Amino acid sequence: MAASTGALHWTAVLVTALAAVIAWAAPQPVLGHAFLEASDPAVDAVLTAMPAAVRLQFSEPVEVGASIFKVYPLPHEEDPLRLKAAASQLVNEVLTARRDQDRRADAGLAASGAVADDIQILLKEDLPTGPYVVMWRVLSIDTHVTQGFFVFQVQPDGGP
Amino acid sequence: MRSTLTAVVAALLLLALGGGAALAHQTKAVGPEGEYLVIVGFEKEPIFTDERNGLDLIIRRAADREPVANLEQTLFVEIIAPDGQARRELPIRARHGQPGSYTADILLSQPGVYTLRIWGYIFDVAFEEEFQTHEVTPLAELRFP
Repeated sequence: MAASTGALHWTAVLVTALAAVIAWAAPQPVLGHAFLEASDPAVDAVLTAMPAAVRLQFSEPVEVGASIFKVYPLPHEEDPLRLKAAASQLVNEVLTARRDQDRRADAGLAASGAVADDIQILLKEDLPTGPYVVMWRVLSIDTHVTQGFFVFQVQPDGGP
Repeated sequence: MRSTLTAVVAALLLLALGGGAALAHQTKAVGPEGEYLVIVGFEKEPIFTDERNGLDLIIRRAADREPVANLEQTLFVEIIAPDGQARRELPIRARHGQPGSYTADILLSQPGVYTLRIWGYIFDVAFEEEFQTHEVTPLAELRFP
């Protein structure tokens, strides 16, 4: 009987521990994570000239070394919604890809601290005009990971 | 006692695996060859009026059930009230930490069956589908005394 009671006690402890782990791992309301607050170029911007860099302003500092920032060219597409759809597909394919420098439009980050809320992504020189997608996955200092993307376009005539 | 504990552990594991979230949800395959699954429900089901709730929209690849992330800019949802007249487009956002899962906050104020019209692009697949909610029950039915 004593052995049975002991087994039940430890089972109850295990169940409680499991419940605690589940409660900890369950999705929590999103408060204070690092979300994009502003950017230059702006989201969906149509520019007449290629910028030298893309600047991202996050709502709170991110761990730069543990985060990913990339800019990729997109195929030309007249329909803005289809362009975003193409961008979302590309983000799923390449955001975490390695050794993809040749395919990217960016040349890495401008010097910044280990932790920053203002990120500058340098662009390669002599990039062709057209649409580009800026994508990121950031680890914020509250240890949460967020990701996102947006599209901008460079059209010498300023677009339609 | 042992069977009770086993049931508790099984329930907790089911909760951990997210099995509870899909109860009462509806699924439709979209795309020329049914490449993607659009799964729709609400965060709290059964649904009561006058209670903060949220759309629970999940997109998965049909072939392997893998979630499809980063669609929040190309998915659109309109909710139509039971009278068929009042309608509103819901601002979709990705659920934090749950790839392929999207939501929008809403409080349903009338009992009855609502229609959800969902359209947009899943990558290069354009789609438009309608779903009917289960009967939304007046919250007053729960009040006591």
